[in-house]
Amino acid sequence: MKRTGLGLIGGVLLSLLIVGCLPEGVRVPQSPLLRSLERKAGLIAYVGIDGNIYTMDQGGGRQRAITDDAKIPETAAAEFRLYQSPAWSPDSRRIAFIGVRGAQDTPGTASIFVASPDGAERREVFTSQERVPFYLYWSPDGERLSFLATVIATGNTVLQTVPVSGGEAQVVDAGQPYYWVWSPDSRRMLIHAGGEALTPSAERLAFLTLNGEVVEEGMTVRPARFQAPAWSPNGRRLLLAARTTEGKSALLLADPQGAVEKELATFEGTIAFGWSPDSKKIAYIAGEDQQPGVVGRLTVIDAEKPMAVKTAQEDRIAAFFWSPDSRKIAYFVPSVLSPTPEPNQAEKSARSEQPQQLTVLLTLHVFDVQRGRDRRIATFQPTSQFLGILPYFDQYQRSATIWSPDSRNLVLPAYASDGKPGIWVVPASGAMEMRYLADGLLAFWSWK
Amino acid sequence: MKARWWFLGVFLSLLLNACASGERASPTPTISPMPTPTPPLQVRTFEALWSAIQENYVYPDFHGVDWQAIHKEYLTRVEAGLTADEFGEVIRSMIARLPSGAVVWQTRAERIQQAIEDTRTYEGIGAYIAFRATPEPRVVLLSVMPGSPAAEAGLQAHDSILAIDGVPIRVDEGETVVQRIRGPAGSQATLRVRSPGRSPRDVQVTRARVTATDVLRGGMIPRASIGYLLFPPAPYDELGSDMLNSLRVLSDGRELNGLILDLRIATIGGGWPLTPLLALFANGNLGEIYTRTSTQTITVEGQDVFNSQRVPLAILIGPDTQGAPEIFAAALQAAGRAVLVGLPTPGEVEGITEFALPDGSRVFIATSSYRTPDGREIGLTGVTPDVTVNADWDAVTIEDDPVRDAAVRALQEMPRRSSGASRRLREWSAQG
Repeated sequence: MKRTGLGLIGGVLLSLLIVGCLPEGVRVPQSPLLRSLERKAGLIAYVGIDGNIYTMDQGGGRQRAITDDAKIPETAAAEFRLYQSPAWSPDSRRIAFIGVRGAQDTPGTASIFVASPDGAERREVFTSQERVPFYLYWSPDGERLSFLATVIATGNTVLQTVPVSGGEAQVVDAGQPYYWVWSPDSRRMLIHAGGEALTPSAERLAFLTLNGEVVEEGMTVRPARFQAPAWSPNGRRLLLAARTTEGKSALLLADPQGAVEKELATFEGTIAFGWSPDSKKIAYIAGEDQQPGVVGRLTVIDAEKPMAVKTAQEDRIAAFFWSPDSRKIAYFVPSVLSPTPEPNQAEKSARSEQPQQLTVLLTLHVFDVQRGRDRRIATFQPTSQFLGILPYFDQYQRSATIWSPDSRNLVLPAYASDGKPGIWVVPASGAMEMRYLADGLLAFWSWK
Repeated sequence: MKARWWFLGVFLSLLLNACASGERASPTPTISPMPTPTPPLQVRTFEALWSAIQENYVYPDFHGVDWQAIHKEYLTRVEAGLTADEFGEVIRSMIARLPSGAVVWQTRAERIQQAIEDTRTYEGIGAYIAFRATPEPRVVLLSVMPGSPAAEAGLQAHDSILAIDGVPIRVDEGETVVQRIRGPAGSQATLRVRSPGRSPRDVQVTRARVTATDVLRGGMIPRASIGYLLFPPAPYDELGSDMLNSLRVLSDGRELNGLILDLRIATIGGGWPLTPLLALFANGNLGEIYTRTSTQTITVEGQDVFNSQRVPLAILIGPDTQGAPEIFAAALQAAGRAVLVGLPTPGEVEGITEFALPDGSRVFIATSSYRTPDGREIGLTGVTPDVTVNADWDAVTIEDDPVRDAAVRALQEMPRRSSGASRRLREWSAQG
């Protein structure tokens, strides 16, 4: 018996060793043993299909229900209570999320909660019947939550902040669309707001100084087509896209006061970008404007030596996320899968007014920034919640991650072959297939 | 044995870390210095505002205002350093040098407040109003919302308010008089009201929270086979579809001898379905929208819906016909497609563009205007009716409306031949 056990362990060790150093293109199926044996990094927060928020580790273990009272309405008029948008605090000790509840003939209520990852402590920090939050972004010091909310009466978007320890929420700004980044010291924000297609003159690229009363100070440059500005994690540089004096669109490096220091690249169309966590590199996608979002080529440059360029293989990339160790970039290439027509399908379609449902697939690649090597990891059908955030990935990059803290794994919300939405983990090495963890709609990994 | 397990554990953890990607970088935030604006924010904001007007205001002659001199005059005051309130006063006094409505400035706080505030829901009496300075200062009720405090108190469209709580309406109040009419829900106001043809009376109204609503209304003019449609003060999402339904109902089983479109209280032009409505009644080039740097021709592809392209049209206009409804009337008049009856319009056809300013405030500038195909500048002249009837909205009633009666006569007097309505109308106009 003992011998058998040792033999088994030896076999597992050998298979692990093989998996750890597999050549590219070879994928090993998930081993049930691996999930219990592998080293765990951080936790995953996710939205369950029952409308509750949960946490778990990458093996699907240590599962905790942060909420347990969600109620999915069976009819349009029925009472409902749903939770969404989990957001980890920078120290990963707390999770913020949004709750919405309502019933027929009563005004709905939207709230923001903050809870510990084990669900033990849960506090409501914001509640309203007039405004519905839809995106959460912690201040880097973890003391405040900033969030976007829709004003029900007007349909406008407002940016608010609320102290996590309790206190009044403050309306900081309003505008549509709205993108922003916190300064690493949590004292300021760089915002990019307004100026929808018809009114570019209403576009604002400005600093907000949050010191009781909010002071806004517009930058002097004219924005090019981009969404979310970026502040380097070390606080020393800003990244934004603006029109040059020659009328070109350029990716610019600026100091924290907004003075432009360097033109990093020029581009056509629109651009989305992000700093590596070590503040040394910049990745960007430049290409077609998807309104919202962008599809194009991924380029990585050295912040100090912009000429040091590396480019990923694919040229229709829709989103990317830096790994915490700044060595890799996970990126997604969308493709549309047309349904296979059944016999007489054309005739049926012609008769029916229903448009054919198209399935969007995403192919996940991991780009090794050091070596300039690209590896295709998996192709999957994303959940609609995940697909919904991808056009805004540059903003979500600032507030959430799909990478494990040790930069080894990625969490993906995807449909299984039976059509059920689930939360999956896949190694960034590409050496193993995707591993199903739990039924769910949207997931983010903790920072630490 | 224990040692062996321990060894295995260590070996396992080493193995799991094999081929790992190395150490994790942890960013070290630094304190970012506070911005030191040069030039000062107020100066930058003033310059941006002045320049936006200088470059974009639709009338380059600034209606005779020396805009360059204004820059020098006001910059000196701003450079001296001002409190936020003083800065606001300076900006507003500079803007006031231009015609009313040409430029509107909002502070950052006002901009945010507007995003939050539901302007359709407010606490007041529940009526659309217009201010009149002559012959006596008064507030005219354009429309009274059903079920509103005004309706409960017996007030009706066409009534006018002469005083509020014993204090007469003053000429200098202008449209700010609305602040006296509105008030907290539950509060009471005594209004001195005059209905057309009657002596003034006092009416007590208890204010409430109301939501501004009004819709397209109308019917048939008895014994004339002429349809009548009254457009509400503000557009709404279904206005276009309601128009089509109304045409269907009015044309049901009969050939209309004419259609009267009453635009006398269509006073809010933003969101008005101008192009679709023009396409119902006309075809081709209907004038142009122009800015300082570009011109866009309004070209519509006519759609004949329930004989809409051929039915003789009369449009009622007046001092409250503003914005897109005003363009609509001018375009159909210029195309020879409608006879206009009533009072001249104010020429409020400018398109407004928003400009963001460095301090988070914003300015709305009249950047575009409209001219008819025959070159009339409606923004400068307004629309002149073909048939002038000197009766304001508070001088007529539903039952006794000389403007509407004049439109009926005009439609009935048009020569009815097999030729197109436009030619008939031109012939009719030539007859006087």
